Parts: sequence; structure tokens; C-alpha cells
Amino acid sequence: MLMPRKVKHRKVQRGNRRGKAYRGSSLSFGDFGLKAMEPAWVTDRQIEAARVAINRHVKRGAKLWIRIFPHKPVTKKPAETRMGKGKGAPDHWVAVVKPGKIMFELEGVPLALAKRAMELAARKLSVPVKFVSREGGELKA
Amino acid sequence: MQEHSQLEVTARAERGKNAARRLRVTGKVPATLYGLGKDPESIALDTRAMVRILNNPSGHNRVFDLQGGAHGHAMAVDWQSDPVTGKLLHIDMKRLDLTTKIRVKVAVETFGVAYGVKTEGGLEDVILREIEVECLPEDIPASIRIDVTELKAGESVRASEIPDGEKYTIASPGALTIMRIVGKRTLEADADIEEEAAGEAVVEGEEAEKEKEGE
Repeated sequence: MLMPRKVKHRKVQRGNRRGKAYRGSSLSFGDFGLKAMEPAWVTDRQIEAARVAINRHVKRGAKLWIRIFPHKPVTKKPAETRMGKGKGAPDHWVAVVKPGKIMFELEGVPLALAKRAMELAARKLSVPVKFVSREGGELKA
Repeated sequence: MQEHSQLEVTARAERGKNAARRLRVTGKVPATLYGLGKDPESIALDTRAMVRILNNPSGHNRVFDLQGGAHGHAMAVDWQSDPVTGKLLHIDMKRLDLTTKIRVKVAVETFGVAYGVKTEGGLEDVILREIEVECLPEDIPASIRIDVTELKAGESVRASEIPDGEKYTIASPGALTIMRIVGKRTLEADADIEEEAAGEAVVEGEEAEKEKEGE
């Protein structure tokens, strides 16, 4: 699972997810991509599941870029615990995703195969997504 | 070489986001025209026409002959779009002097199936999709085509290997890698490394150490 190798603080506040992803919102490496359409916390497990789904479908021979990383720790209190007594223990890691962010990019496969692989990956994620390709043109009127 | 196209522009008197939004509803996109030491002008362009041009890989290098609210030659040098909807929001147009050489980015196209892909089972990895070229505005090539048929696995094409054209010179640093053929073995090794790395990350930190000491 993806996680930071070293962090300054084990627990962080939740922060906000306002705004759009003005950075990382266009294809930079591959020919096809998966774009988030809503804000979300994408967990390390979801990223890994999506990566495995894509790699299994394209059966290697393609190049995949994961453009999000779960930098943020999420804490959880144990079950049946009374409120108080401090913040819970770190449980998992999430990537803060804003609308417009390209999460995965793929290269070296035909359009139909890439589209199907991204569809399978989308099912593993907790965010509505859109398939984007270089040929489709990124601008709309 | 690029063809000239005429572009109808209208001068824009109102400024600010309210006026810009009203303008976008009418099918126009706000733009600014600057360069050649003259004062910048606020103009409006037809959104549909600009989207069609800018979606083309070599469209941004088109030289426009401005008519209507502004005159002279210009080129779209930068544009903003909404990250979610992809709608065009604003365009920067730069005035051009047709007798002065400029530096522009031109699309790189590869053709043919590389030996390393066809026979050795590798993958064509395009690293740079655009290369910088110096030429007169009227001599900008639509694209630069690279023949990759003889490339074997592990081989690459650098900017220094692309010959200058009749009317343009390559301005990008020669050491830049434009594309390479990744061998099958490298691809598999990369995938294995990724899998291993995903399984064994360790969390450390000053706070973690402090807490351990506290316990």
C-alpha cells in the first residue's frame, strides 16, 4: 500500500476540500487519464485496488502513472470507546483529491483497452470520474 | 508551414469577472492582446472558433490576421480553462512582427513501428511531445516527424539528433530525450519494484519517536 516513508506529525487535522484542482488537471505523461469530478479522500487501499485493476486488464506492456499520493493520515478511535481521552490512533492514509485532478494516466495501449481498464479502476474509487484522452481535446466551448 | 487565418475580434470595454461571465454567456471568450512594446488591449474572441483551433496539436502556433476591434498579426500564447468542465475561460494573444524570429513549441510526431516494439516486445515511451523551434512566424512547421522504425530496445532519440529544417532551427537543448524504446525486461522490472515498494513503506517521525519515549 502507498504511504509516506517519514512524516513530521503522525496526526493531522482534517483540513478542507474546497476549490478545484488547478494543478494536475491536464494530461502530462500518458495518452489517457482518469479525472476526478468531485472532491474526495481517496484511500491507499482504493489507489492500490485501482492500480491492480488497470495492470491486470492491460496485462503489462503499458505504462501507468499514479498522480495522487496518500499523504494524509486518518485516525480512528477503537470500537465501543467513550468520547474524549484524546484523538484516536492513525488508521489509514488518504489522498486529498479535488475536482479536475487527473489521478491515473496510461500509455502504450489502444483506446478501447485503456477505456475499459479505467472503467474497472473507477469502480474501486470513491469519487465520480471521467475518462479523458489526448485525442479527444481538453477544451470545450 | 502554418497558414494565416483571419480572426474577427471585438474590443472589450468592461473589465472584471462579472463582465467576463456575461461575455462568456454570449459565446465569446475574454482575451488580452499585448507585445511589441505597445499598450495591452482587452478584446473578445469567438469561443467555438478558438476551441477548434486550440484543440489541434499545432493550432496554438497559428498566426492570426486580426480584424475588427484590433489590427495586426498575433498568436495565442497562453490560455486558461476550467479544470472540471474544460470550458475555455481566457486567452493571451501576443502581437507578432513577421520579420522577427520567434521561439515556439512545435508538436513532435513519431511514425513507423520501432524494431524494439515489433520484434523485441518493448514499448514506445514518448517523453517530450513538443520541441522548441526558432523561426519566422510564417515558417513555423505544423509538426516535426521522427522516423522510429530502426530504434531498438534501450535506444532513444535526443533533440540533437533532429536535423534543422530549411526555415527553422531546433532551439531545445540537444541533451533532451524526446522518446525512447523501453525494453520488455525494464518494463517487468519496473512493475516488480512498484509492487515491492507498495508493500514495505515504514512510517517514522519526530512525533512518533517522542511518543515512544513518553510511553
